[in-house]
Order: sequence, then C-alpha cells, then structure tokens
Amino acid sequence: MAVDEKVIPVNDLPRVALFQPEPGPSLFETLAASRELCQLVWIVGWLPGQRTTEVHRRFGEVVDLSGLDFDDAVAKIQSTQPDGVAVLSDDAIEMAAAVAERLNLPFHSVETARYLYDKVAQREALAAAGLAVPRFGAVQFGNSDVDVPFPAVLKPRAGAGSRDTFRVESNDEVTELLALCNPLEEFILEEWLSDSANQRKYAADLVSVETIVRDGDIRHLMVTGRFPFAPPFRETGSFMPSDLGDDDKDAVREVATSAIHALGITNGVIHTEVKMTSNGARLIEVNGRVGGSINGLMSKIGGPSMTRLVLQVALGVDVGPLPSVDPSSIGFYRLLVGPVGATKVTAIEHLDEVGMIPGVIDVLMNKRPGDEVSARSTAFTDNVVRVDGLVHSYEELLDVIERIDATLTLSFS
Amino acid sequence: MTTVDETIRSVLKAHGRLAVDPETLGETVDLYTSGLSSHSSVNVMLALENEFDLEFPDEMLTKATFQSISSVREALEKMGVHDGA
Repeated sequence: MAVDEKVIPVNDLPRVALFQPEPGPSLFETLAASRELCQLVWIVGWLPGQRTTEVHRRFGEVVDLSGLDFDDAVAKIQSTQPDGVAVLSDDAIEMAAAVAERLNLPFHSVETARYLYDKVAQREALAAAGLAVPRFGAVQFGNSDVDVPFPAVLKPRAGAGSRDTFRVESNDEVTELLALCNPLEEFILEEWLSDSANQRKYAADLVSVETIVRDGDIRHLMVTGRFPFAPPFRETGSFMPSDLGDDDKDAVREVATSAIHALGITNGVIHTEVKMTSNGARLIEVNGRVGGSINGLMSKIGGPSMTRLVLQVALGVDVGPLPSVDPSSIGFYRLLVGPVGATKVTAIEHLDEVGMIPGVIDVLMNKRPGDEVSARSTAFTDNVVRVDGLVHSYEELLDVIERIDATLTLSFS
Repeated sequence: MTTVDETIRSVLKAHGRLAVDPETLGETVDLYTSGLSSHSSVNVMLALENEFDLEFPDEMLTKATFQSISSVREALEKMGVHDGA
C-alpha cells in the first residue's frame, strides 16, 4: 500500500440513514455502494408490513419504525444523529425530508419533498412556475368530474412503477376504473400528450434522465429509453442510452433542468420523465430518487453506481469525475408481463433458451407456475420473467427483444 | 455425515424460494433463472452463515457468489468449508 493511501476504519466512517425499500435494489448492491464511504443505518418499518429487520441487522445498525406515527418515527431517526439521509423510493421522501430539516442535512426541503411525493402538488408547483404541464385534475372514487380532455392517463396521486396506471378514453371509463381500485386512494387524471412523429418499433416516446443536484449545481447523466408499454399502461423495460438524437437529448435535459429549478430541488438524485411529442420534449413528472433499475443499466455500460451517488449526495460529498460509459454499449432490461385479465401463471417455457440468445446476460424468473399476477400491479414486481442484457446497436436491440419475445412462452389462466 | 453440497441444497430448499427442487438442480445451473430473487439470496446467505457458523466477507457479498450451487460451494471453500472438515 502506498504511504498516502489510508483505509478509514468502518466505525470512523460517516453514517447515512438509508430507507431501503423491500422489494427494492439488491441489498448486496447497496452494501457495495457504501463501501469505504459510509456506514449504513438501515431504516425499516416505515410502511405497514415491512418485516426486514433481522436481515438488515446482519449488515449494521437498524432503526425499526414499525408502529410509530410520522412524528415519532422522525424523532427516532433524528435521535440516531446520522450524517446523511437517503431514500431509494418515493414513499420515504417526506419522512426523510423531515429528518434532514431537523438535522440540517442535505436533502429535499419538506416543501420540495411534498412536490416529489404528491403528483397533484407537483403539477401545481410546475404550472405556478410557468412550466408547460399536461392538463390535470385530482380524482377519487365518487369524485371524478374534472376538466381534463380525453384520451388521458389515470394514475395514483402517489405511486411509482406504473401501478394502477391506465390510458383512459372517457369519464365513464375513469369511473369504472376508480371503482376497481382502492376507493380510498386518490388519483390524478392527466391529459395524454400527443405522440411524436418518430415512432419506433422498440421504443416508447417516454424517456427519462437521471440528474445529480448538489448545492443547486445540476449535473445530468444518461437519457434512458423505454420499450413500448403493455396494456393498460405497464412498463416493459428500458434501455440506456436512449436512441434519441443529440438535439432531442439536449431538449430532454433542458426540460429536466427547468423542472428541477421549479420544484426547488437543491440536493438529491433525480429521475425526470419526459415525453417526446409532436410538439417537442414535454415534462411528465419528476421523481426524487433514482429511477427503477437505472442502477443496473448504468453499471452494464460502465457508468457510476447510482446508489453510491445517492449516498455521496446525502453526505454532501463532491461526487467528483464520473466514469465514462462505453459509447458502443446499450444496456437493457426487459420485463415480461401477463396480458390484461390474466390472474395466474400456468406455465413458463423455454427460459433456458432465452439465456442463450446473444446479448442476453441474465434471465430472472420472478413468478412461478401457480403464482398470481395482476395487470394493475407494477411490472417491477409483477413481471413473470426479467431479462437483462447488453447489445451494441439499436438494430441489435430490436432483434434481441423480438427473439426474447418469440422464444419465451408464458401461459396464464 | 451431511456434505457441503447437501447442506447448500437444503438451505436453498428452505430459503431460496426456487421454482424447482434444488435436489434436482445441476451444480452450474443459474439459481436466478431458477427463481432465486435478490431478497431470497440474502436469506440464503444468512442461513448458510448459520449452518456453517461463519460470516461471508464483504467482497463475497455479490450476486455472483449465489449464482449457482458450485459458486456457493467455491465461496465456502475459500472460507475453509470442506466435506469432512
């Protein structure tokens, strides 16, 4: 070891209170991201039904919030005196912001956290700042009469991963769908933005961009493309980088920058969704955490660990120069889901053959024959099979995706 | 006496939530393709630590360590776990 290299003992590293969701990013990935940077204080139990305390205890200090109300939970985390606070999911943002405010830690302000959690509040803030947002309105079972043109998108007011998200054509359909969903849950109905003229077989018009914001300094990372959605509006995977041209990518980044300013975001890793429309890049929404599975895509093409960036920003650490991605590589993940109306997986065939398709790296069986499925659930947890891979052109990407879809046989009842 | 291989398969059966019986799996078959999730791979790791009374070092806490029965056995061997030991 060189004389000037010092390994800081683990116990001397700063401590980050991390809300690690389950299901969520791999625990192993999160641990790797924290190495020689920080000790993790695992925050668990902030949502009903989370029972991961014993698993996390193996890897460090655990703060279990089970049974506590919001204020007591915040006070309990505050009492551990962390040096940073970080989230990997939307549902912890408001609590993390409250902790950060009390301890003067770099994170979203309480007001910004509300914008990032509540889609209606976010659209109101964006509109108030003069940004173009789709027409929208808050709806709920029994109260869906809002002035939004059809077609439109109906989705939970607070939610992620396309859970309970539908393209709707009429108010009757909205009423019908709200009756099917949790009648107590609030939704947002949002104008459908026109599709772009540049339709591709393998790509949706929706893209996203990850951004690091530190002390107000905005640094955009990769623009990510998405595969076309499955009905009613479920994600089927993403690829990085997006196949958009440089001008379009610049437009996406400009939209994200405007939104970040409008929401008062000064510290955080941000995931902004933008739709390429016939009228250019239009903002869909801003999320105060890394996008789903972006960490894996980034690592496939040689980019930085997004989780490590989250922890660095939480500590107020300069993230420094970032590794250059391999310009000839396109990372992807494909989520195979059941059709609308399917309730149970009955067979999964030819999985091994999918693993042999050139470009495929990993095949993960997420459901088994007999497992239940629902088109209302997020595809991140309700996919039957997930396929990850790496290719070197968009033609190859299309070919691999078509071969995956043609090879795998999924049956449902 | 139970072999290392048998113990790994037993742990996979109890904690892996695989779609196939671990007894029938080839040594190099991809456990993730067989239904091992990132969450259950952590449970498998904890159960192995308990069974063999050891602690996986940080550098072994990766997806690759739990990719197959043979990769798990190789990791255990590096920690001094052998049949009859």
